[in-house]
Amino acid sequence: MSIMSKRNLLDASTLTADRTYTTDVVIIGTGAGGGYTAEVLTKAGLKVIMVEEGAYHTAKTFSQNEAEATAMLYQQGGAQKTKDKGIVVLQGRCVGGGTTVNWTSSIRTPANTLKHWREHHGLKVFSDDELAPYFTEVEKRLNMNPFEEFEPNANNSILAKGCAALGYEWHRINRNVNGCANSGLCGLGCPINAKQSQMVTTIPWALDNGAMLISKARADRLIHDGQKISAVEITALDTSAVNDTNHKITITAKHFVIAAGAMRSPALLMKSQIPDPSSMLGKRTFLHPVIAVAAEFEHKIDGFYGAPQTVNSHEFLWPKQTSKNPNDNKMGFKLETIPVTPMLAGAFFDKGIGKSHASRMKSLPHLNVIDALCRDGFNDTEACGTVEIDSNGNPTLDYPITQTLIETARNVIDKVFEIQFAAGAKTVSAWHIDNPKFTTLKAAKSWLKTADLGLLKGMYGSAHVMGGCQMGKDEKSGVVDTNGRHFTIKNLSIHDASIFPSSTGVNPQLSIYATTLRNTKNLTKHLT
Amino acid sequence: MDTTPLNLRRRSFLKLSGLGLFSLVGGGYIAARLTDGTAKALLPKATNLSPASQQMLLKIFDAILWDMMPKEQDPLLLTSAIATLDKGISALPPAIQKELIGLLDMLTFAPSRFALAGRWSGWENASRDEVSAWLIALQTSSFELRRLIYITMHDISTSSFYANPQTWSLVGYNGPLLHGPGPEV
Ligand SMILES: Cc1cc2nc3c(=O)[nH]c(=O)nc-3n(C[C@H](O)[C@H](O)[C@H](O)COP(=O)(O)OP(=O)(O)OC[C@H]3O[C@@H](n4cnc5c(N)ncnc54)[C@H](O)[C@@H]3O)c2cc1C
Ligand code: SF4
Repeated sequence: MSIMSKRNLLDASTLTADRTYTTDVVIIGTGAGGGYTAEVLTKAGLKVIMVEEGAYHTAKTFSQNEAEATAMLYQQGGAQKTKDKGIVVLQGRCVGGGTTVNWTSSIRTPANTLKHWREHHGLKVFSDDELAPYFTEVEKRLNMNPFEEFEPNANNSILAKGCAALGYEWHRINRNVNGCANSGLCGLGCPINAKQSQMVTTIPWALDNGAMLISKARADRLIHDGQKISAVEITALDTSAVNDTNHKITITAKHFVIAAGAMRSPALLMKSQIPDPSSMLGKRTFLHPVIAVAAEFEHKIDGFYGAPQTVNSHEFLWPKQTSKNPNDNKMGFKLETIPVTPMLAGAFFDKGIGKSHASRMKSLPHLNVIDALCRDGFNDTEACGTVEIDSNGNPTLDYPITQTLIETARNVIDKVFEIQFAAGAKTVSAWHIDNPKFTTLKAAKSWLKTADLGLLKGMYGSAHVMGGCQMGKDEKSGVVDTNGRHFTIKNLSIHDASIFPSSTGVNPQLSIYATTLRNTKNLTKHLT
Repeated sequence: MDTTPLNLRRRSFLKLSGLGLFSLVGGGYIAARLTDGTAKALLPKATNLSPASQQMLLKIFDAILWDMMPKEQDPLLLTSAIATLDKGISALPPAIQKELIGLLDMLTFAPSRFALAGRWSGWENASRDEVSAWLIALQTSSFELRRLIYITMHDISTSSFYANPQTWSLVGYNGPLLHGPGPEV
């Protein structure tokens, strides 16, 4: 008998009638926050039902083909963009959410970020030590360790080499893997279960210990009386997990944990007309906007093989304000790499046609791509993002390309050009609709000085959506308290990236896990 | 440096279909109903793409990807990319499916194509040079909507093309190192 047949699973597309369930806690979404919550609550002896909009794929059904995998595992089949279409936004949509498709970088929340939360948002509880025991526990549970089994691939080594040549800080990245074969296609789901996503760790543990999982099921509305939620209404999707069926599922529970990710958690509260005394619901969404630069090298890089992210640089993450730049509002950024696979390079990065497109793609094995994650949400001149519900009832994110973002991008591209040439690049190209390519640093910089990096000229991406249900010190300054509990609705918690009051500044999964673990442990004290 | 955030109230948003494009072409047409009904289907069974859209995409994909192709396989690789796109559209949320299909219908429709710079008499008569010039005009346009159409055409063609493992050797990629299916946990 397969393991799956012993578990309490419901694929909602198979329903032939409406269903109702009663449980202690229902968790909406099974990503970093939802999966971890399920294990901790189940361990505490609570009856848990997990609800997931995406399908339940495992190594048995993953595809190593980029187009197939993005259609199966990503929000909007990988086509999600901000409202003005200026930023491509990648999020997981499957059991395990973003953790099933992420690139395994495992980094603690920086002390400077926690300091900002204390000083600018009044979240005094987040002392430097507050999360330390939770980081340690998560790192052990998910095998987050220095990755010493293999040397960084050539794509990552170029970042290290360029930084070293210019005297910039760089270091290797911890990863949440066990028995990694260094194949490189983490973004398509790990075919050997080496990646310690929620799909292979906490979710199976919770299922094997009595929790239930309903997949292809979208939570649409929380039924409440302004103080307490009584039930959640769910629409069953069809086999493709794309279209609605006529069947509904209603779950009544003592407590409701929303972990639908930082666009859909605020959207669910907005659609349910959950009280919003701070008016912060759906406001201040952060993306860690990604700026990317490609370079061509004489030697082979094969950037499609090898663990995708093993080296990063925090040299520019916390720029010092000097007397020369007292009003410098540019965002700080960290540097890392993007795997150079045919679809990411050919469709996501490249923007040329004919000879221009082909000349880039024929050099694919010689391409390196370095990207910056911009630390958004720390600066008053940023607009950040706002979640809206469109006329079809779907969430969209309005995240304008501000002057602050444009000047940050110019700064990033300038630094990365220097790093790539210092590492021996033959040509460099910014991610831009004009598909520019330069053979000298001088020519590249001269283009950059006046290049239009505005909407649909400069290209921007994101794989880290945060905020929208931010923690506050009281109901006037945030949607939830520092335990993720909603200020007004007593049996509602938010356990995902949406509770952050700024971006984390580094890849967020460990920050989500640690805050979730802390908040779930606190929650169990009230529920058991 | 100008650090003023954008004035959110003054921004307008692009829509691929509907008002955005209609206003661009002068409004009022029901494009999908007026497209070329005589176009021959490339795909024996298509779920989402009309025969006219398939013929148009063949021209557009060719203009974007011609230099990637080993000569003898040209039509097959492009038709296969169009089939991948047809299938891929079904995996998109219904609202995006509608938007994309609406855009394609509108581009097959002469008045809107004219407004977007293509002056040839029908997609079947367009030369590669003409379609390339049209794409470059969109790419370099000062109108955001036109650039968005360019990016959409570029991205749907290339993502569908590189989905086919037969194209991987053309870019020096030997395919995934690991193959499924792996064990369920
Ligand atoms: C390609 C990629 C690479 C990444 N690489 C890294 C990395 O290397 N390191 C790192 O730290 N971070 C990485 N991230 C980011 C990280 O994975 C995410 O930040 C994290 O998974 C977010 O966790 P979450 O709990 O907020 O939401 P998610 O993980 O996004 O989970 C939310 C889940 O809720 C489901 N859902 C949404 N709405 C509903 C609804 N109404 N009803 C039911 N279910 C719903 C979604 O389908 C999804 O499965 C990466 C992300 C991507 C996309
Ligand atoms: S590099 Fe390959 S084996 Fe290692 S975690 Fe990623 S997908 Fe799995």
